[in-house]
Amino acid sequence: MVSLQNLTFAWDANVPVLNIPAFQMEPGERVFLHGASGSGKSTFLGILGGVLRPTSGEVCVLGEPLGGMRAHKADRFRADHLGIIFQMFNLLPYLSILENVLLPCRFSTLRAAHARESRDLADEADRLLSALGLPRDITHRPVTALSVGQQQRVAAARALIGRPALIIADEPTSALDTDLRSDFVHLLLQECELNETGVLFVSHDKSLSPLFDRTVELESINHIVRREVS
Amino acid sequence: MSWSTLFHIAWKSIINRRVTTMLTVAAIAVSVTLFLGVEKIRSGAQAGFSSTVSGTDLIVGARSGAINLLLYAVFRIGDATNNVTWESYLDITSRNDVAWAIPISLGDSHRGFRVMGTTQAYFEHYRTGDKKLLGFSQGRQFGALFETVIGADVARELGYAVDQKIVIAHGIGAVSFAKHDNLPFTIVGVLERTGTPVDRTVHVTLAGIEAIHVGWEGGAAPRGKARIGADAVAELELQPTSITAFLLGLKTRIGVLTAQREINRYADEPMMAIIPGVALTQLWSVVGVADTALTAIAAFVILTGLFGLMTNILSSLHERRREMAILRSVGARASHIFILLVSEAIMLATAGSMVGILLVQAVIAVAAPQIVKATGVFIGSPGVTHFDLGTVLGVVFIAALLALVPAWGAYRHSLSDGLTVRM
Repeated sequence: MVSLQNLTFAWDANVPVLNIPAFQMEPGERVFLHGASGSGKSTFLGILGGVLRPTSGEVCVLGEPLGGMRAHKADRFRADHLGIIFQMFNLLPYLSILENVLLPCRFSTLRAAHARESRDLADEADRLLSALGLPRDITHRPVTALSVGQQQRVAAARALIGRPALIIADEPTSALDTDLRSDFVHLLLQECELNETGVLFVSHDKSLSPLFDRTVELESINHIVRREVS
Repeated sequence: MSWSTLFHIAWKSIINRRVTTMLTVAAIAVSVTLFLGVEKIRSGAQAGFSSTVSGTDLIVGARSGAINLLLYAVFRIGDATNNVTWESYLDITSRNDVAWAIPISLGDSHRGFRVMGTTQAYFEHYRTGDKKLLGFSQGRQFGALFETVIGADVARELGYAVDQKIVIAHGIGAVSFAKHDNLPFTIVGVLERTGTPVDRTVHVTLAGIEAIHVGWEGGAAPRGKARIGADAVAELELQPTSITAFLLGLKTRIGVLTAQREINRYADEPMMAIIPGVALTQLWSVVGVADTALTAIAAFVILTGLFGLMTNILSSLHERRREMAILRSVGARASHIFILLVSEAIMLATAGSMVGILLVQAVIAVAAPQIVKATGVFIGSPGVTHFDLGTVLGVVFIAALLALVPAWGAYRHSLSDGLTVRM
């Protein structure tokens, strides 16, 4: 499902950030990617998300050569096939919870069509929110009234809606209390399993890694020669 | 991604920042109000100006400049360089193509207002804008030698009414030491407001002007025996020897140019005839510079408002990088981010100029009657003109242009930030 070959990336030709000879993910596979901050995680995810272009090498996601795609096609691809969860501040404060969850369906007709398969959009959003452990009546509340944990669950529901093929989560639990973390990851993976959605979960919290199929150390696949950046 | 979603998001984002948004809209609204207001006053003043005199085919005076002749004969500003002899006046007005003539004799004043000697023809033929004859708010035309008809401003500012007696001063200063106080005039009529210099004029008979100057041939006030009373004057035969200028109405307008040329070539005396419309246009091209400047200032005020709009969007960008990254993560293109910011500017500018138009309409509805009463300038009745709509379009267009700067910045950010939410 994800296949990288000889990937390199540098913002500045003298300062390479990534040099990954090979990285693979199977369809539906759930991978825990461990990396310290500053190890090039965000850049790696930016490339997988089709927002950043690799300096050289091949990036294939779902068999599509994402690295060589034109920018607007890559944006379209991301809207159709990827669900992304950030560390925090995932939600637009001026949209309602429901509108936030349905955002991917606004940008992708494919996601909207998937979400509509068994019920209408609002009901599907409701279903996901309650599957992720949020109370039923929450959709009417303003986003700003939610706790950080609740915000992350809404973000997860947004990533999941319309059955994307791959969820990319960038430290989604680092802002959560320890006892909530495994609960959140558990519910997220459960929902992914239903749809055979692949998960690339980035975290520095190794206690979560047993919940995944496989753990990958970014530092072990990234063959960059580290230098001191002054 | 449909346009409606993009506009929906832009709209919600604007509402979320409602305080700065409202201030920005208010700044644009006020500047648009100022601009449109200045334009209404300008066009009102221009319309009022060009309707100062109408229905008159030619203005004839001693040879000088066209604008000078127009200024003293119509606007009653400044002085004639020379007079026209009564003989020439009679000669020209006896031409076959002349339908009517109004003689004008200037040179005296009453408490700062010009005194004009004329005849009943003035009330029969002098027309202001809309081809209206002069109307009376009180009293009637003058008939006897020492009767006077005053303009609306004269009556209002000096508190005069019919039957009051006034004394005319020699010369045209606001303060005069030489007064024709031996021969007072009685007010018999007050004219309706016209919004023209007529409102500021004291009208007397041509013979009255002659009468008060009996004994003044030396240029100074007569003393002793030379100072005479009304009864004595009435017995004299008062034939003017000269007048300042005269207005002509022709039987057909086709002959205007011919008549003008012939008067300009009049052999016995150097005279000139001007066509009021042509001279008014020439004069406006001089006066109009001031209101062009005013319009330019108002335009710059609009530009200031729009720069405020741009500043508002630019300064919000930093805190909105997160918003942009979220939109990118759910599939927005970098170009969507660009469009989002431009459409935001368009919405604010449209809202601002709409409010501006409403404000102008409200001001017109409330203030127009007062302004007409006080100044005679008619700034139009409520109603959105093509100029108003053109202004809105212009403001929105410039706002969109200015928004390209922050939009380009956000576009660059959204490419380089990737999927990182930056604080």
